[in-house]
Amino acid sequence: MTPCIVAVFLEPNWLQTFAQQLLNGLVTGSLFALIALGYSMVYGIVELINFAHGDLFMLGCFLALTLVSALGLAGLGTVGMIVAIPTLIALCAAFCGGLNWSVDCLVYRPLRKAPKLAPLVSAIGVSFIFMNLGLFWGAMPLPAFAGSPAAPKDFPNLIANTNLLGDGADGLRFTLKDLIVLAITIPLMVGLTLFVRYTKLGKAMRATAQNPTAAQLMGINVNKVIGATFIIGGGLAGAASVLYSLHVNTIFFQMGYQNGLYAFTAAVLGGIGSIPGAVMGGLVIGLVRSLGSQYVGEKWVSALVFAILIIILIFRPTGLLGLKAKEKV
Amino acid sequence: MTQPSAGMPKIRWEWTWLFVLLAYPFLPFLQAIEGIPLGTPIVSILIFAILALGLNVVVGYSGLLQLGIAAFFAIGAYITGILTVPDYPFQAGFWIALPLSVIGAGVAGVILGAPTLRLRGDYLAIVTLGFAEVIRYSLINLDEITNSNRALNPVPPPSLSWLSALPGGLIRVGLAAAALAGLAAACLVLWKRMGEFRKHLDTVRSSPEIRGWLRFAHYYLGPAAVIGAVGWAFVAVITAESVAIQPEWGSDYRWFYYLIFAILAALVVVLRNLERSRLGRALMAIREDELAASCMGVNPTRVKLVAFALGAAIAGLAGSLYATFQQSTASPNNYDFAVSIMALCFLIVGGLGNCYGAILGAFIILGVDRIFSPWMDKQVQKVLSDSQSVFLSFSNWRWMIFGAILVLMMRFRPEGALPARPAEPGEGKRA
Repeated sequence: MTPCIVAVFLEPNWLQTFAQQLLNGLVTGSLFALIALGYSMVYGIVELINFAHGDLFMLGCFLALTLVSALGLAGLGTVGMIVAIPTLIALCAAFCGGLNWSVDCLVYRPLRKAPKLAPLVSAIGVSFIFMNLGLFWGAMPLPAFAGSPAAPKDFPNLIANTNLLGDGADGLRFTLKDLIVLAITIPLMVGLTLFVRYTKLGKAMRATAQNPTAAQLMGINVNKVIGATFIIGGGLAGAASVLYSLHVNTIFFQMGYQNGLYAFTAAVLGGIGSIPGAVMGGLVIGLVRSLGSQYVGEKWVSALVFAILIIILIFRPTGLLGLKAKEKV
Repeated sequence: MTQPSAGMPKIRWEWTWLFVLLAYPFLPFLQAIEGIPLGTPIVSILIFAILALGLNVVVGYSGLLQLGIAAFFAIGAYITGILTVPDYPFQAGFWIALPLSVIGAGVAGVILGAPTLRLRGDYLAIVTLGFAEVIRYSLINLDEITNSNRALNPVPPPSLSWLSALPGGLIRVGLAAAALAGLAAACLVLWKRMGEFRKHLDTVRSSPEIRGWLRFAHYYLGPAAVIGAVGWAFVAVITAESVAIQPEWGSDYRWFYYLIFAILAALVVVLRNLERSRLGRALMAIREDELAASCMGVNPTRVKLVAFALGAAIAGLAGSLYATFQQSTASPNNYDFAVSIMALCFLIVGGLGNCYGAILGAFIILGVDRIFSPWMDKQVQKVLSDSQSVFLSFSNWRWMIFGAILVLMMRFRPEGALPARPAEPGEGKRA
């Protein structure tokens, strides 16, 4: 480890490499943060680890590819893209939000009073169902879905890969894709924070998270508030799915598992239930992944993420920004 | 009448199943279903049932949500691999590698558990999940030790050379005597049952419902199956030219079947006793109410750690058997999160906290996965011989069906197929 770190500083342009990885980490981290918010909000309000969230995100990616392929978006010019990408995000967000809400109504709502393991297992079941739907979706008769249903699908490159910081061979790379990811995720996160802090519904969400019974006694329709949380969490996953597909350019039906695991790790790392915590956890994971692949080795990145998770939880048992939970007696 | 079974003797289904499972390899018509061999899948189901029993100690008895049981499964398999594979100088053989794998996995459980058991439920779940992923990636990346995705092989089968030290005649006489004793015992049980049963025959005749016939089947078929099994064994021993001291572990699944079945049965006996021991009661007390348990003098941290280590050790046992049966440790990706989730689903479907439930869950889920769904695929192919559609293959539907079953079960029967007996007040006076 030590010679490795020394070698880092002996490199001629180490500062630039470091800054590049920092930038990459921020971009992927903000994507993870967007997914992590869905885990965290749902956990904060119903104490459910929503294992289906990663697969919801995967279905969002499949819808994005279907829309792009069916509407022929790949051939549009710059002006077309400016209209098409926000529309795509809105549609996928609406789809994922609606799907998440209906799953809540059908599956989780009847289990509100059940022991905590019951909704967790249901979520695992829903995750299997979503994964299977993704497999079937892969057989859709569209050119973009050619090949075996289980095979990874190419997502068309809608955004040019040009460097916005000049074309110097050793300069920093910050592409239009990166800019779009940040330009959409950051306002979403800020908007969510403001929403939860200042609107009536946001206040109702915080009240329900603190104590559902008391919230109900104060005249809050708890089921509606929980439904709204599922819609918002699902919507963020839908937005993330479009951005992810645009950025990574390949999707497949089992992608929800790995990305969901990272996002969930991000939510726990930051303190599950806390919105700034989820954002911070996502950024930490993005940074660990990019810096780790540069300085520790690509193949150790995943092990590193989970090792850091374990170490942080050992020393801060409720995550970085999580509140200390009181034992209920 | 609230209790339709009043007046009937208490049914002990577990004995029937024990008989059926014991007799299974001697029932030649059950060796394959339309070209799908059953022997190998059933041995792996037994191995996963052992894994489920290990997880049951942690999740079922103690109520700790552990989502990383695959890590200990992998540790057991790789310790066995390292100790037995020709690439390494140890080549200790199965009988030494097995206990060391169990101990090694148990120690790994303590190492993970000691710092993390103070975490609250869901945080503990994610830490165990993370640990399993760390172990899996380490196994992939530590190429020099674990051979990465090529896995460690060949893991040799258990050696029975100590048997050949005995004189051949002694073994034949011993086996024949054991078979005769088993036959006699089974006949005795059947005869006694028939006596009991005759008294209640009228009750059964007057109840046309299926339950009456199930009872009938239970009373006759279980003992009949065991008589058949022991009889077969007896005939085999008598007619054999010489008793095979060098068993064909590779080609004949029955050696593994009986080895693993014996281990599973012994484990069930141990765990059923554990349930009624001081430690078992402490575990369940912690599951029900940690605060109350600690007020009664149970040390929660210590007891949880013991449960964690015990579960890990049993998972290590399953891993060791898995590697030996596969003759390879298999690629590290065979020990991913899906295995942990699968083991949890065995418990949920079968009945959390009940040994027989865990085993039943393994049989239901893996039975559908490895036997029923290839069989269904064949049936569909017969009808639609040239169909290439994704939708017309049962295997492609099984995740959806499984997911739907989990969801519906949580809604309508959350306690599983064979729920654990609820703790009754005054239960301690028994035993």
